[in-house]
Amino acid sequence: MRASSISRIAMALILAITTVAADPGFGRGRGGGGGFRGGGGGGMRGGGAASFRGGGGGMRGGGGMSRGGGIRSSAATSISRPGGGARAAQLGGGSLASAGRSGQLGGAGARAGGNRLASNARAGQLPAGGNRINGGNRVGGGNGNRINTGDINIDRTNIAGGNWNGNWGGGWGHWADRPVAAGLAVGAVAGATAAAVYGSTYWDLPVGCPPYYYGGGTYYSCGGAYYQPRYEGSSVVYVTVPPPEGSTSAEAGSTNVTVTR
Amino acid sequence: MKRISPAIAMSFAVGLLLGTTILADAAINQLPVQAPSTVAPEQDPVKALTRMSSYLRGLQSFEIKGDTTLDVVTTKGQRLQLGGNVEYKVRRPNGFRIAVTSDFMNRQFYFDGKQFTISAPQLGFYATESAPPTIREMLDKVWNKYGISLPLVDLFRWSDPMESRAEKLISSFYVGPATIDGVTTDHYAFREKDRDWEIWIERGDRPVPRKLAIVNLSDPARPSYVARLSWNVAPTLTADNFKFKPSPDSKAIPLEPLGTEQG
Repeated sequence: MRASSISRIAMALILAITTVAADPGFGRGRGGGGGFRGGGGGGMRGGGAASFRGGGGGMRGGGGMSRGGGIRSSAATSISRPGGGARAAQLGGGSLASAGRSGQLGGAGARAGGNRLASNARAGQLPAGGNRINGGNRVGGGNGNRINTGDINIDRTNIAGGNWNGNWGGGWGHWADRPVAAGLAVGAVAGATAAAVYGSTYWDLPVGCPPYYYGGGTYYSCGGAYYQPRYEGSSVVYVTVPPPEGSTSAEAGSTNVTVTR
Repeated sequence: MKRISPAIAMSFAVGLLLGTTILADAAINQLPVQAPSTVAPEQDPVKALTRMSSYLRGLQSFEIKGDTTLDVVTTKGQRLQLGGNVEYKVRRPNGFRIAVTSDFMNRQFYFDGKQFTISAPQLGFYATESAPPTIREMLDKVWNKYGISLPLVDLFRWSDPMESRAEKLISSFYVGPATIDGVTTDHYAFREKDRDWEIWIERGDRPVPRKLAIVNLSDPARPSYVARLSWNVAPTLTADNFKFKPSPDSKAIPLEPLGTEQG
């Protein structure tokens, strides 16, 4: 009696499991790993192939290659307020660059923001002369093709390759202080060219970039460039600035930087 | 009588053990008895929210610990789920400390009635700004001026008149009872233009949200944020809880206002 009821339950269970498995909706793996949505598509989605190597090693691409990961949006953490992406759009376009974490110096790489997170990036690529490129204009969110909007510090080869499209977006910084996986962290490097362009925003500093204190402010200085850490929203970013001493000198363009304490 | 005889000590220990066992049993036995409600669930989602809101509004201070999952979407449309924790210590009208902790990011937010501080303890950077005198005004300021949105900011905003929220609802319904962390709750589902959200409200005389799920419909990957919350509605909090004390090696950095284009 007992045994038979147990076996009946077992049977029912098996049936249930089979049914679930057979359910097309389930089998399609809605929540499952898949999730790659028709490759290519518009603008940012089509970066390089994603390679989630898991390790940290994936980034040494000679500073060039994007792995095509990148974060374009995230969930909202409250009902009352839009998620990072929507808000981000108000920050204006521009590019987020990321300093390489793998220690490659050389190839600079500013990063165009990805899709909507990208719009998080701020405009503010300032040429040395102080003329704003793209300054103040809000680049419409959405298309993410903003590698060409003022990213004058981008290494040419990177531009040519379009490798930085869609990698990271500003919003990434809302949720992480470091990349989640190698495939998401593109090893752009702040390098020599960055020094000439103020206002480039990076998620990270070159490895071993030492702090530099001046006038009560905190900076980092390496490779001829000065970086000032700032909060943008709740993200910490590093912005290239003129040499702190220069902010009081006659050097053109340097007045664009306000050093706040 | 200087020494307690081993026998007595033993029986005491056994008694302790037994007592614990019995207590534990009682606790276990009590749960199911207590849980099924004699209280009828509120079937109207908006009324349930209103009731919760007025309860929250009445709390002078509270402490919440939450487990959260946050989806981020790669440029390839793949959803990744990041786990984390939030901790709220709140004292109305003018103090809080909120800590967001995950494997990927740690942030602490302080408000002491005069100043607002955002701190990234692992990075060693913080920024402090003067703040308006109340939590509500302060939240609006950091949002409008700096684009900082605190997770679960709804916890404060729910004490607003519900009308504004209700107006945004496209639909809502009562899903049914649900057990969250051993507690009976009522589960409600809401739909707005660009998000679906659900809330699980504790049943009984402490109608706090025990779980919240938000789905971002504006993204085709529909990333979601889920938080399970445990509450202490009568914590002992002092001004000290809300004072930011920078560690010696941390540094103050600027907080960039929105819309500035300085380079």
